[in-house]
Amino acid sequence: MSDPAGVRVVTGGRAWRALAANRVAMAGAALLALLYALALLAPFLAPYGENDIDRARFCHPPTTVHWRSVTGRFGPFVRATRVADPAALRYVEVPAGELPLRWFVRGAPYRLLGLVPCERHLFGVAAPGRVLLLGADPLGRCELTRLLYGAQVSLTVGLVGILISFTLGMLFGGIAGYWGGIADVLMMRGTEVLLSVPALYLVLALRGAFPVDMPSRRVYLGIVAILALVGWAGLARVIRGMVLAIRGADYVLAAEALGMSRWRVLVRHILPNTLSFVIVAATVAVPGYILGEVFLSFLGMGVQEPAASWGNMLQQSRNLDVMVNYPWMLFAPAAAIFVTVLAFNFFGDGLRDALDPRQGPGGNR
Amino acid sequence: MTRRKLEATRACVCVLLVMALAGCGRAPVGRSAFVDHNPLPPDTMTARMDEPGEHGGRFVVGATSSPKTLNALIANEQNSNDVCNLLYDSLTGTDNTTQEDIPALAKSWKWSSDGCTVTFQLRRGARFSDGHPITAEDVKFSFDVATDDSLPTVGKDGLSYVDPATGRHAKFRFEVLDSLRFSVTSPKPYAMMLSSVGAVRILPKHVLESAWKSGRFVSAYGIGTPPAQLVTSGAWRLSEFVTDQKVVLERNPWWYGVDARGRRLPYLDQVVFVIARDQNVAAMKFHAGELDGLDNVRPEDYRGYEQAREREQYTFYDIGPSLNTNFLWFNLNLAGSDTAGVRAGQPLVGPVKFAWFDNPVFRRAVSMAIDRDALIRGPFRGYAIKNWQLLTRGSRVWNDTTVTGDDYDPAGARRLLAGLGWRDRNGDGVIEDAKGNPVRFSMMTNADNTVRMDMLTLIVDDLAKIGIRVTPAPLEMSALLGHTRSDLRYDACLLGLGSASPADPGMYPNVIKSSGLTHYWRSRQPVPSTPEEARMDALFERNVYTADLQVRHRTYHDIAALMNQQAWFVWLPTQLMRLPVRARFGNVHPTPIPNRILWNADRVFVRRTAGAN
Repeated sequence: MSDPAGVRVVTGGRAWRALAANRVAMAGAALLALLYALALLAPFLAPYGENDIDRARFCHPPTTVHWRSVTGRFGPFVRATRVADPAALRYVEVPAGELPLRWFVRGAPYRLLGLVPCERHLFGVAAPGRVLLLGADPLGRCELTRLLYGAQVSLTVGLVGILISFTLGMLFGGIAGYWGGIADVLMMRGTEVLLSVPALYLVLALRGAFPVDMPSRRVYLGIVAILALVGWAGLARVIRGMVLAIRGADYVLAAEALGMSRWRVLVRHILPNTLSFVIVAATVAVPGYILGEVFLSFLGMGVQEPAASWGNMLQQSRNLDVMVNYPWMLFAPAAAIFVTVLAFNFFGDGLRDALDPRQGPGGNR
Repeated sequence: MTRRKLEATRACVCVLLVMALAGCGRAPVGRSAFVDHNPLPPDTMTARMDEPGEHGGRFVVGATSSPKTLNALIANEQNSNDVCNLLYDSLTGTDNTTQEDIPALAKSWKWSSDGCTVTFQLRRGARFSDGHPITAEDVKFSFDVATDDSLPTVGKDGLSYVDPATGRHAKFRFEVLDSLRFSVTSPKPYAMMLSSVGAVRILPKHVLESAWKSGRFVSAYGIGTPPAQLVTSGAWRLSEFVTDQKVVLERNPWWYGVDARGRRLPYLDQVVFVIARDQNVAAMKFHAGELDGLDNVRPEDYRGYEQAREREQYTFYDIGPSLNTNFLWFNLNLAGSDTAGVRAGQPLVGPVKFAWFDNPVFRRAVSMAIDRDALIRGPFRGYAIKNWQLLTRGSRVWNDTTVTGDDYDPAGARRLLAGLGWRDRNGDGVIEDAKGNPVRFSMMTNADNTVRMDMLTLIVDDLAKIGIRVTPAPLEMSALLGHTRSDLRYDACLLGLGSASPADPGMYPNVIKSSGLTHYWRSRQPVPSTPEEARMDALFERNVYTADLQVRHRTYHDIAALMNQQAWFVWLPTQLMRLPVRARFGNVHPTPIPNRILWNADRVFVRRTAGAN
């Protein structure tokens, strides 16, 4: 299985079997599938609209779901609450105010999958009551709802980001490695210049250049682009190194001898052989983008209110008052980020183990 | 959440904080025996205080950033002012509790019969921190520098008269009568005379004259000046300056203030300003015992301060309504010269938006759409009151309770807009103006202020309910000031004004007069652009150039009423201020006027009993 350049090719079937046998990786993959499904169906799963501000429930704690009512009726319900202390924003349940949880209730209108107009939500209670499973933020918006909408941002930021940065990285690395010569020198020095720029300041400066009235959706895309533009240089160098090794392989020489164009050789024969590395690197890079968005939002430079992202939800809860008195605002986004990053890392590790050419059958590195 | 759980969480957080801050350490509160080496001057000033104190100890207060300069005549932002107020004295001062003018370097003053000239009698034996006597020559020097048109000095507007008819500036006359007598003459009786004189801090002529003559005054007394060369006239002098970390002040051994027993003030050995940029960090430092007081606390943190009061031994003062205001306004500025796509004299927001913003009916409708009670309950956690004027209820003398603006009335707002012919023609939820342009614009605020950010989010929601689509634009403070003061490229902005000292309408020429820089909605007008603007200028003129307090109150009322009738500023609630100060300090009287805690730092002392732990 070894070729002269020392790059081994792993057959798809064996990699797949190795991956399937890795329970941690499969758990990560399952979790990711679930998270993406939740994000995709966010408007339906969320009981309220992304920006439904409830002025009677600022900082409302999570509502408890009760099962047995005083009348003995069985079934999930929540209790209505009233303000016990307006200064401290403390709420207590009203024992008589039972609000049964209903399924497929009518609520804020939305477009399912961005297409089908719809106004049914998975669950809810009769207005003016509210079910706030994860509590409310300082503006009375449902944390669960914002977590689900925020997932749309936080989970896609990585995918779009790697799409941009890996396209750029493979292109630059491939051309530089295969063409060599002056192109190689120019392109690699260019990436080194990019690598030497302090990324944080570049990100902040680019972000600062956005016009003030840019809509949040475009701000989001801009942020992805910025993160990707800063992130591709390192990858380009690795790809170039791999291409340098592959370009001396017999099959490349054969393709060249058959008169294939250089571009075709690069795209058909060389780059595909870097894929096993690229897939692993991409999976491991996604959490970087998620954390990048969190970090930018935390500095108040990321996705901005009123749009939700896990980063700006975390930002909202970064003061002592919230940590001590309203901890749910901190736990919800923190847990979501933690679980997602962990899932990506488990899955990425599993992929690496499965695709790593240096790993013999049944053995470890 | 149960109380125990809460305590546990808090303890947890505190442990984390202590760990995080362990490197900084807590300095012991030492009490050195104070020996007065210098003779007291013949004319001492007996400071008013609750109880005579003891010498020694220090007070550590949090500051949001490092002072930019220690030159009191150049300082123009809060952190520099807070330090300069302690380092330098003026002829007159203000008692923050009574909000009245009191003697300082001048022990008395006398008005001429025509009410235009005031003659100050300086204290005999008053000295700078290097022992050099303070004479009328130093005072004259300070006034000449302060009114030098070539320097970016603050307060010079208060010391010159602008003829409303001709627009000509005429400086007041400053005269040295003898070594201890100094007079200021204005062309007309001038209500702001004592306040304007009080704004000029006295600097040493023998140190700074050469810098002024050679054009280096702006950089003189910068933050790099060695403490020994920074000669001061106030109760304090500089001991140590570490940029972005701390400013340490020590007692000026020559100061003229004494207590009732004739002992020299100040009592404290040191006042330390510790820089804590982030309010969360400031709170942590306070709870960890590194700070003795904080003069800027967010309402959302009040609950935490209330809970730890007894355990950490501090008093959480309730000082009532802040003098700081909050409001939003629309950009009506015209281009001064041809700039990117806009011809000189054309509105910078473009003709369509200008037509909306320039209409007082639209501005009033916006005011009526805002649910201020919700702003108070949410972002302010209930610690705010509605405010409709420049001088909030924090000003005992000036707040006019008969002034009100357009409060929450969404139905009324819709009626006003419908009256303009604005309605939603295409059913997208956004109204269109009479020409069919959808009414959308952006609104800036400074992103680091959570209260303003939350207010903005709620206001966006409020305006959406009457069909106006607002894009929030949170910006970093410096970027925001760049837009509001230099390039003037923005639609609308939500911001506030800090309190002037003393709190007097005459201290707000920059806001009220059409030529003012902080006349945000259309700043620096060469001539008043509308009859209403001209009226504002005339009212301000009448307010300050009179000696009759009744006239002043009436004109202030008219200014406030006109501003509300025009809704140039759409007023938002004002915070009810609370400040924590360690209980071991005596003579502490926090006030809404800056320096909120340390305005009477010369009298503050450490109680012996409370400090012995």
